Amino acid sequence: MFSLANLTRSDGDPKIIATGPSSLPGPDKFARGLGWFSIGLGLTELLAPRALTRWLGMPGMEGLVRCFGCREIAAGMLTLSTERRTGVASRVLGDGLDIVALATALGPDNSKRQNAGLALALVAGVTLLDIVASAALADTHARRGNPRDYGDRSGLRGKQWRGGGRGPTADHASRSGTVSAPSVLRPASSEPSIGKGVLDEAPGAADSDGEGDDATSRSTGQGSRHGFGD
Amino acid sequence: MKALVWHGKEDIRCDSVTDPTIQDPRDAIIKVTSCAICGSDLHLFHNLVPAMLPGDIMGHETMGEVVEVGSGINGSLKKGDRIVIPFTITCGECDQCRRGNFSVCERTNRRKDLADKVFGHTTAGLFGYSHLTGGYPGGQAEYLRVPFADSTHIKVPNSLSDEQALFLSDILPTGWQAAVQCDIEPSDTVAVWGCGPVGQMAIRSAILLGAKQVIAIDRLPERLSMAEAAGAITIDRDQESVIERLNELTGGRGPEKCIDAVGTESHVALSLPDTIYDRGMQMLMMENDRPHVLREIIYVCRPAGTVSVPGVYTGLVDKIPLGAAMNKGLTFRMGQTHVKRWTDDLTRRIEEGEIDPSFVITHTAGLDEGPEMYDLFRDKRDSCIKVVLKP
Ligand SMILES: [Zn+2]
Ligand SMILES: [Zn+2]
Repeated sequence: MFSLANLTRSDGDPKIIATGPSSLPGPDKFARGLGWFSIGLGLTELLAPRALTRWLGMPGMEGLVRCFGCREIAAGMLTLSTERRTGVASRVLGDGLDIVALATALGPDNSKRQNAGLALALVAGVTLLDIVASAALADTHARRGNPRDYGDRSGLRGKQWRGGGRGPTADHASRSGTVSAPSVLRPASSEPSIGKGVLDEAPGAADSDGEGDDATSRSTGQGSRHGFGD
Repeated sequence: MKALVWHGKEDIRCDSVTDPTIQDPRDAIIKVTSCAICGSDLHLFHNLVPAMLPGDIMGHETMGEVVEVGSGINGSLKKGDRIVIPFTITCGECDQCRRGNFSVCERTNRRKDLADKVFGHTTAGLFGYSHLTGGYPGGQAEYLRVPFADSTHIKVPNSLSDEQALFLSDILPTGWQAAVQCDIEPSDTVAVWGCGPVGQMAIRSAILLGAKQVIAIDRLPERLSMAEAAGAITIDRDQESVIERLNELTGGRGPEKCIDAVGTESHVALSLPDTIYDRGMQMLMMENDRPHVLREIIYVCRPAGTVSVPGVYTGLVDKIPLGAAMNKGLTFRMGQTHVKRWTDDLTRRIEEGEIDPSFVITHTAGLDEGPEMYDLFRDKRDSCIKVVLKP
């Protein structure tokens, strides 16, 4: 299969032969379409407001049309982003503003009121699509049902853990009882083997049992009511 | 073979691709038996990491069986070996590797030119994590080419299941390093922001390293219940004020050690106006990350405390209260994980039953269900915390 993506592959790296279905759910693809529509319409309103007002019989409203154009573009960007649901919701609100503005052009004094009526019908149709898309997105991405209780997933061995613990390497055992500054601030000689010496002494070979006992006795002395275990 | 391929924002597909082949004498090919979707894969899913290209294969938490080795492997690996692949590719020979700073290996990033320009100096090559880190095809696939395979692997004892061993690739050592970087004292309160997979591992690591109390902060009940299972005190940020509760739990002093296991994609909410500001700045491409958690940490951390950042940040951030951080004398420690620095010790702890990292798996699926799983994991539907894929 020809794929543009294959042009950027380094030599020897796997190349695409056939492509599978996308992780993007249907409603999201549809919403992206609405996002691009927003940007297209927004650009038209921003760049050619006079043509629109002339066709709708709304002279003098160019400023408002430009504002609406900016609104459309912002809604489009939001709809194309991961904040898609907010984007589509903002489109629905925008549709409401469009309908109100177009309704003012339906009066008998407007010779182009038929055009305005057509535009209103189009906006109404798009509004319906936006509402459907909004509902479909909410449905697709909803967290349903009660959250599960993972209260039985400790991952730690039973009762042993009461605030005690073993250091990452044997060097932690050599901590002076009186100095409690972070290791980075301690003299190099007592520094735990973070960042050096790791290869000279296999951490796996470090026997930290003595230190574990030490840490346990120190912390059980705390008597914290937030102790661990059980 | 089948592989999960990035095609653009939120667009991952299970494609048929050509099989990987040995490219260098130090390569090995593994048949993947298990791989996982990482929280940081969601940053790629949302296209927040620069330099992803359509066609890139995802995945950096992978294990499997060696099916082919290059001529330069020198006996450290052979066909049939069962290995976990650390997400940081390491040469084992450069100055940084010899110092144990594996995630900043100087030789494995094949786009060193790019990384030198963007970061000032190159960092290690990573699997499936953009062209800034080498553009290496990832391991959410049926087969994976492992470059520098003689040093980029962790042998798995037969007594451990895939589920127990797989997270040695990333989230277990990442949570562990986050806690180790805190230099935990027995009198310390450790607060962990974010109870995703890395947060869960950081919580347990802080407990194993002897913290007095560990406080877990999130907004999803299922994640908080998992944190509580280990013995952490929980704060539901939708229900209570994080700052108030943390001060309350520490006698007004603030936690000594703070871990940011959220990173670039802080939850955006009306109740947190700065997150809305950040999201807007992000859309206008004036900021890469949403550093709400960092701001909160700097504010609440006890003076002279330590801020440890395992959460991934990608670029420029805005409105960081550095004045508060400086005057409070906070220590910042961060970085991609030096996976191999910790895995001997952690493998032993798993074997001895101190910790069983499989507790975090909530969903298991086939590779072809991968695209759906990305969407499910992103939405946190069905109480999803960790997805394992079986190719
Ligand atoms: Zn990861
Ligand atoms: Zn190296």
